[in-house]
Amino acid sequence: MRSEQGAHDGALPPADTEPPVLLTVPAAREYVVLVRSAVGHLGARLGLTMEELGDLRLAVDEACALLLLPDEIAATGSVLECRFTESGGALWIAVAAEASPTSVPQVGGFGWNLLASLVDDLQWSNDDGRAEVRLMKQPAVRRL
Amino acid sequence: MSAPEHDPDAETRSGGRDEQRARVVEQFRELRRHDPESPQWRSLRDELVADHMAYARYVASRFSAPPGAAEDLNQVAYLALVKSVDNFDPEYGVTFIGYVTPMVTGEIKRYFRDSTWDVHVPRRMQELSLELRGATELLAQRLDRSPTVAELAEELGTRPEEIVEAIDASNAYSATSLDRPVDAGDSGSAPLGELLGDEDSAFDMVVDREALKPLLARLSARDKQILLMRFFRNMTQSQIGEELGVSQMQVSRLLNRILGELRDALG
Repeated sequence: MRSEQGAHDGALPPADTEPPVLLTVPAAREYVVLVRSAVGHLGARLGLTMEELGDLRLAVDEACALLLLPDEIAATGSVLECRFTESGGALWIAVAAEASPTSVPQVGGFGWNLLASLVDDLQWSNDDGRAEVRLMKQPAVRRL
Repeated sequence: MSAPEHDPDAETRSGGRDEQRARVVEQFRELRRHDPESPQWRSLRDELVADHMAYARYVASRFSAPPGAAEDLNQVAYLALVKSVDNFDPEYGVTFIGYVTPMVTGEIKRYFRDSTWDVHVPRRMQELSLELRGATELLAQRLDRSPTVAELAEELGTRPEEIVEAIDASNAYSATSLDRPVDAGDSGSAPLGELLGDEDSAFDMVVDREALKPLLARLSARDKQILLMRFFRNMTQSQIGEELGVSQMQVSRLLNRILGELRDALG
């Protein structure tokens, strides 16, 4: 059982969903392109506009940077584990890595709010050395 | 690939684009009122061609020409431009840029197909990502919102997967790619003075994310990226400059402009 930070389980998909897409990549910047590409294809399925897709790809890129960059979480593990779940017309993305149990990003500052404003939900947790960034994006207007 | 001489995004940002479009449409209406044999027609046509030559060169520059052949590509692009000026219908509801872009790329594609050159960069994605730009603009105008990937695929007669791959390709080729390796070795730890010395670090607006959303929606993808690098990753202006391939001074100017716009919007 995971312990969530904050009062609510934000940026977690509803329990009853389709099987997720799982992608594990080496914990290095040059592999983030694979994560971004996956996000592009999944976001397109969801009917995101080019603008929304651009924002989401940017946000995911920064979420990975958060785990990888030495000034931020500086993951100690060798891989980034990504989980993509489509549910209720939204795309839920979780990127996790092993990290020091005391690693905490600078949540709540201008930078964090910048990132948060590109997506519909942004959460983060560190459970005994498993750091995870979760975000959610859905089309502003339902088309189809 | 030579650097683009004409960046259409610059016009988007500077604002005068609608006036520019209206002016071009008016010029075409004027052109159609004249007899193609008349001197007035001739001079209006020359003017329209001259006004768009820089754009035609820009489109041509997006293709990787074999060494020494860049001027050939420009000539092909000019030819397509002239044809476009002669055939464009201002009443059809498409901007001239939306019309001329696929005409120029089509002509260049034909040129490549007819020549025996070995072009070493896979062109399919480059072409598609170029067409993507025109089609995105066209659809945004028609729909009055940003188009979805599915809508773009239909417009360009391709599959959504290919559109996403083209987005990837255009990002890979653009100077603003985030995939440029970050030099974590020595510049990873910037001197404290450099971090504090930057004028923009005085930026201490308390803005919640809901208030930021509409403000960010007005910024280009690159502007958003620069903001994130500076304030989310806490990169210095020099580091951002390195990653984007521009000078620290340019980064400083860009940040000042972006932050100025945000402050103004917050009133």
